[in-house]
Parts: sequence; C-alpha cells; structure tokens
Amino acid sequence: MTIPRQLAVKIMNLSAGHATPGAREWVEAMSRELDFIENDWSALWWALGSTRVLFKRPHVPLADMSVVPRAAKLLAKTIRRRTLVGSVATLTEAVFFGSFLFAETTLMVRVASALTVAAVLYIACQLYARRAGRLPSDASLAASAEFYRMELKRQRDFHRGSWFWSRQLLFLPGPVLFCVAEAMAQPDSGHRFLAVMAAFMLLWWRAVSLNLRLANNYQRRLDELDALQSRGE
Amino acid sequence: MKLRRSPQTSLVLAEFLQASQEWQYGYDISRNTGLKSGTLYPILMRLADLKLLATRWETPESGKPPRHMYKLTADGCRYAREQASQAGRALKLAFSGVKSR
Repeated sequence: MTIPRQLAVKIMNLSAGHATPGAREWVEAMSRELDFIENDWSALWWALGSTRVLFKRPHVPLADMSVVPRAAKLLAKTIRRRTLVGSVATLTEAVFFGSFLFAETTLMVRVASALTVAAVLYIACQLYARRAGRLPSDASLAASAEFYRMELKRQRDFHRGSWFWSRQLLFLPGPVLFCVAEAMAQPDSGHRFLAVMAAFMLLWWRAVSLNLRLANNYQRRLDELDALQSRGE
Repeated sequence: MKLRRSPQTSLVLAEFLQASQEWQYGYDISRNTGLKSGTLYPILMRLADLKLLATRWETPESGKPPRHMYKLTADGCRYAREQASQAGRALKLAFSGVKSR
C-alpha cells in the first residue's frame, strides 16, 4: 500500500473514531467508498474531506421512543462534561483577573478586574444551576422521556433568553475595560491591548452565535421528541 | 432546518434527477458533479435530514463490505424539479435581458 493510501486509511479510521454520534454513519459511508477510488492521491483527498463531516449532526435523530433513554443518558453526560470544563475555565479566569486586584496597578485596571471576576463567578453559578439533572431511577420510557424533555428545555434556555443575555451583558464590560485601562496605563504597547480587545470581541461574537445555534439545536430535538410522542411511537 | 440554495446543492440535485429512480454511490456522485467529499457529504446529510434523500446500505455480496447508497425521495424529486425549473426561468430571464440590449 502506498503512503498516500495508508494516510487515507489512517485519516478515515481517526475520523470514524472521533465522529459525533449523528455523523458516524456518514463517515463510515465515506470510508467504504475508499476501496473504490483507484487513484491513491484522490483517496487521500477523499479521506481529508471526512474531517468536514466529523462534527456535523452532534446527535442522532430519534428513530423511535425506544432510543429516548439512551439519548437522555448521552445528554446528561454531555452536560456534565460542559459543567466540568466550564467551571475549570471560569475559575481559572477568576484567579487570573483576581490577581490584578492585589497587584500594583491603576484603579481602572482593578475595577475592570473586579467586574470580570464578578462576571465569571456569575457564569460559574449559572453553570452550576444548569448542571445535569439526576437521571430517573425508574427506567421506564415515560420517566426517561420526561427527563429528556426537561433537560432539553433547561439547556435550551441556558443558551438563549434572559439566562444567556444576562451572562453576556455582565461578561462584556470587564475585559473590554481591562484592555482599555491597560492600554492607557502602558501607552507604548497600547496598540497591543487594542488588538487583544479586537480579538476578544471577535471571540465573544463567535461564542454568541455558537450559543444561539446550540439553543436552536436543543429546540429541534424538543420538536423531534414532540413529533414522536404525538405519533405515539 | 433549511436547505441552503447553493450552486453545489443544485449540482447534486441535478445529478440525482438524471437517474431519479436509481440508487447512487457517494463516490460516483462526487465524480459526476466534481464536488469534493467534504462538500458533497454535508449536502447529502442535509438532504437526508430534510427527508429529501433516502439512504440505505447495500446488501453485502460475498465478502465485500456494503456501500451507502442514495436516492431522492418523492418529496426530494419534487423539490429538485422545482429548483431546476426556477433555475431555468432565471436563466431565461437573464438571457432575454441580454438579447433586448
């Protein structure tokens, strides 16, 4: 087997291993086509394309009600992971900005740091309040469906509406003021802090759109569940 | 969920319309349309999510691994024909504009 072909097979195997549950079947489908591509370089380009499919469809559409308990378990696991990663990130940020409160710096930097620390602690509280609920001990379909519905609603509201926008409104001023304050305190490297602020704003905007997309995703799954229940499957 | 009306999606739909009753393989569609796998498969996934595309795994023959196959559903055929006629109308309009100049 040539090197490009070996690489193609490796990439495909990696993609299949890391694909989201909803994309796995599609990556598998792409992988099966590899045997029918005669040119090795074409096979490599084909395999590279699979990386664009990897993260599509983060969940498998519900085929019928019997898969709801598994979907509920997966959702709870995802939320647990998010709570953990989010908590570590927010607490790290709180420690970082908190250190400026005790450093020898300007009052404006201290105010900005205090604002940021307050905001990230608020986010940490929200993450805790929206942590995964306890899976029902009663393993019946109805209990699982109810749990799934409640969790989807809670998570949808975490990523949109007042929960979400209050987070954004509180979070934005601190870091922006921090960059402005640092730029004023160190005029020589002021442009560097303004560049950091621009990068931060871009990231913030990206985070906003990602959150709204997640909210839509949860809503879609709710609709899917409603449709299944109304069909009585 | 909405289907983005991109030239690539139109190409895929047109390719399916050419043999709307036959199941097609991903690699064949890619070769016929000239689309790379990373462009083609997200389109196929979206079409399948919207129930415009039917998918199935080929029944395996003696030791060969099965391949994934695709065909437009009845809704898919209707949608593809609508898109094709809209594109035709737009082309006609553009062409008549050029002629009148």
